[in-house]
Amino acid sequence: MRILSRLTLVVGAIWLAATLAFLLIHLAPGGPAVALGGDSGAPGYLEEVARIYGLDRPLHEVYLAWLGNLLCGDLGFSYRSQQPVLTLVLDRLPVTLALIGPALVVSGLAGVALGLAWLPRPDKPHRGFVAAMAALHALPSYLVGQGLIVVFALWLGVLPVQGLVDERVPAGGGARLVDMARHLVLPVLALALHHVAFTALLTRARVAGELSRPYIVTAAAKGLPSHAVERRHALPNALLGIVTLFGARLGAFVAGAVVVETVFALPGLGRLAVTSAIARDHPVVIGIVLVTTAIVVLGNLATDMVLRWLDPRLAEGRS
Amino acid sequence: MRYRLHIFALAAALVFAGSTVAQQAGDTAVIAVQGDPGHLNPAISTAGPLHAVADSLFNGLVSLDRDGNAQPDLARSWSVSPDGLEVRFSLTEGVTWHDGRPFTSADVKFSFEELLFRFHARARAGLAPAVASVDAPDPLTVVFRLKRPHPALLRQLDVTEAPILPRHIYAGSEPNRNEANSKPIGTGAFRLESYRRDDSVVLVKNARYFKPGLPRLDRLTFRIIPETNTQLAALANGEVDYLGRVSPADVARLEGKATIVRTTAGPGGANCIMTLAFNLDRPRLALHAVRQAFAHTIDRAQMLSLVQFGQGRVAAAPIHSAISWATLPGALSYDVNLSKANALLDGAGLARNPSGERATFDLLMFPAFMRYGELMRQQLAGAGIAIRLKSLDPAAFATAVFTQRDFDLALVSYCNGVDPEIGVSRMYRSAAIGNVPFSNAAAYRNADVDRLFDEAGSSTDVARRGEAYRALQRIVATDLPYWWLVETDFTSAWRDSFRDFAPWSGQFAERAWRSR
Repeated sequence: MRILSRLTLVVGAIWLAATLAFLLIHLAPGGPAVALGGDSGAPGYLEEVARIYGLDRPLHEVYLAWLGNLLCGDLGFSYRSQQPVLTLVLDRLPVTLALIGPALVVSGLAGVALGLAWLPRPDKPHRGFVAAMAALHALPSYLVGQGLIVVFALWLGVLPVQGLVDERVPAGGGARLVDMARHLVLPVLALALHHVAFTALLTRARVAGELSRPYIVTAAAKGLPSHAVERRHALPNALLGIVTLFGARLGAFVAGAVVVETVFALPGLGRLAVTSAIARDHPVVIGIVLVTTAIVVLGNLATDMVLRWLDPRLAEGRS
Repeated sequence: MRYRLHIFALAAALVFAGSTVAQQAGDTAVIAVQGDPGHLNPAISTAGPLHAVADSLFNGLVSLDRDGNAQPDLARSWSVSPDGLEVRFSLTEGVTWHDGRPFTSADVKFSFEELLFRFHARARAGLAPAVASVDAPDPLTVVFRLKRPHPALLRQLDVTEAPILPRHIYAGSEPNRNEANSKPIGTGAFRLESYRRDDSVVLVKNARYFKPGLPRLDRLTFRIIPETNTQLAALANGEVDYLGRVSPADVARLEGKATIVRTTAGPGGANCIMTLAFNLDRPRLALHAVRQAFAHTIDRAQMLSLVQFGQGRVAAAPIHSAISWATLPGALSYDVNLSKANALLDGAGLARNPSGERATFDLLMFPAFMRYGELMRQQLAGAGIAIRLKSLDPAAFATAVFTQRDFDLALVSYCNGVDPEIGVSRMYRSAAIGNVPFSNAAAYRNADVDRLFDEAGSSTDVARRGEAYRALQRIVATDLPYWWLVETDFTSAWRDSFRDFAPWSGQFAERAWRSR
């Protein structure tokens, strides 16, 4: 029963987001006909293009047709690239996942590690670390990306500036994977650093909070070294809060991917969203909103699962 | 402490694990383009990103040299009848499509009648009305029969304005939905190898190209890089060889590091003038004195240096200076003079309010033109004119200005084309007011100007045409439906190891080569 109500919520959230996207993009000024028509045109040209693509129908008709198709699993057809939306989106999804996945892992692990390494001590409050992390968190990923390009690609010359593969050396098999990994290092860092800073500060605060609790005094009193106390006793309890807040930021990772993909010229969902919005390619924009909403909603579901695993009390329905 | 060292070691390992040295291979040129082409059918769209790529796959009847003169391409020669009503083209022999089928005059006739005159916005607006028929009397002859003499014809037949597509692929299909739009078959110097959307388009040499010895490069890879900073870094790093468009602010960063060429023409437009359009339907802007005050207030020399970084010229006439036989240097004799401007505005009844403002106007523009808008707002404040800047993406801009006409001022880059018939008349003719993007934004109506355009557009005598264009420029320079700001040049840059790119042409890489 709980699963069923949960599922209704998930489907409802996705439908609501897609409908909002549908209304927003259709109410935006300028239609796909103008974008398709190019920079000039003859009288009657726009009307003809609109007719060819069925853009002259009333909005409620378009909405109902779209909803009907959606229920049959058909996300529609792109005006701009003349392909089914599902094909386009599935084609791009791997690039975005290859960006977001490692960024999630890096920012989770590195954030927790940094937070633990710079725990506040009575003698060393590490204010410099807090200031550095706060600054890193405040920097937009656009700037961070440009900075990484200047340092690692232009000065050190160790990593490429842009793209997913080296255009001059069409490699295959394993070499290609290595090539892609090289190209993804800077984008992943550009996306992750912001969240690394957030997670580091969060971990630091949460673990420090645990350290003032009585069970820590007990652990220390039985002679455990301080790092064991921090990692084996304080961290597991602090993790509950860390995972909850980290999971809630999944949407920010998806949004950040739009910027990072643009800076590093990666052919992911974020780029597709931007170019489709500018071209008023309505079906594609709505399709991307559907897919990303699904990712975020499912991600939140996954966060809940992890929390249950971390804290058996939640699974048993106790608090 | 030990713990922190681990973290740094891990970070360093991550970076260096990915860093093996890249090697180079083959005569490939990597071209950075800002936008994805969408599809690769240049006959049904005038979009710039599409033509930047697709023009290398196709040919026109003629190609244009740096001065905009027609040179042989799919047509090896042509002749114009004495009355100017018939133009006869002899086609080049032995041309084949990328799939091996022979190219004939039937392809030309089909391309014009079924594709260009229906779907190519500029061919439909600027060429179709003058053409009575396109005939193919034999496989190697094409005859254009014209309704009136159309002197701009040859300049409208290059690969950007009128690409020729294969009849055997498109006949009987809906051109918008033909699969060949993403797997094109052309006659061009290069053919398509792969197209990954928003990522790259790879073209390879057409070994059967009909021009002996061409092309010289083996591959062209178009990388879609939306960020200009990333484009510049990629050029510096050697990942990219050619930048088709360098923004004026960035040219200085490339000086001494790359071959830099400035042209007035490029794919997607030629001879462009950044222009301020007054909406003459708005009562205050319908006042001649108010428009004169704008002309006396806007400092165009400052605009050229601060916004365009000197990449262009202050507009000296309504028609671009590169169209030397039609332009009228010195037509725009308005000095920057705030006291004149203030006197004109006082006389027009636009009094200053207590905070010193006379009126507020909306200025609509593309996001890319924001620097122009900001500078004008600052300059016009001196005359008590307040400007509200509204930056809109192209689709929203076109709707607001040309469909709804809901604006006071609009900033438009009007590209004159290589002949005034192509891109000038649409700005002024009374018939060009209405729901057509980038037409007569001002809604300017003047019967004398309409008549002079008719006269210039239907004569083949260059002297007579020039006279008509100069006469109409005198009128519009007085009426001021627009204020012509600066002629904007295109700047292209490529790595010094490459030679003979032709950035003024759609077929920019046909002759390019890489030095050893």
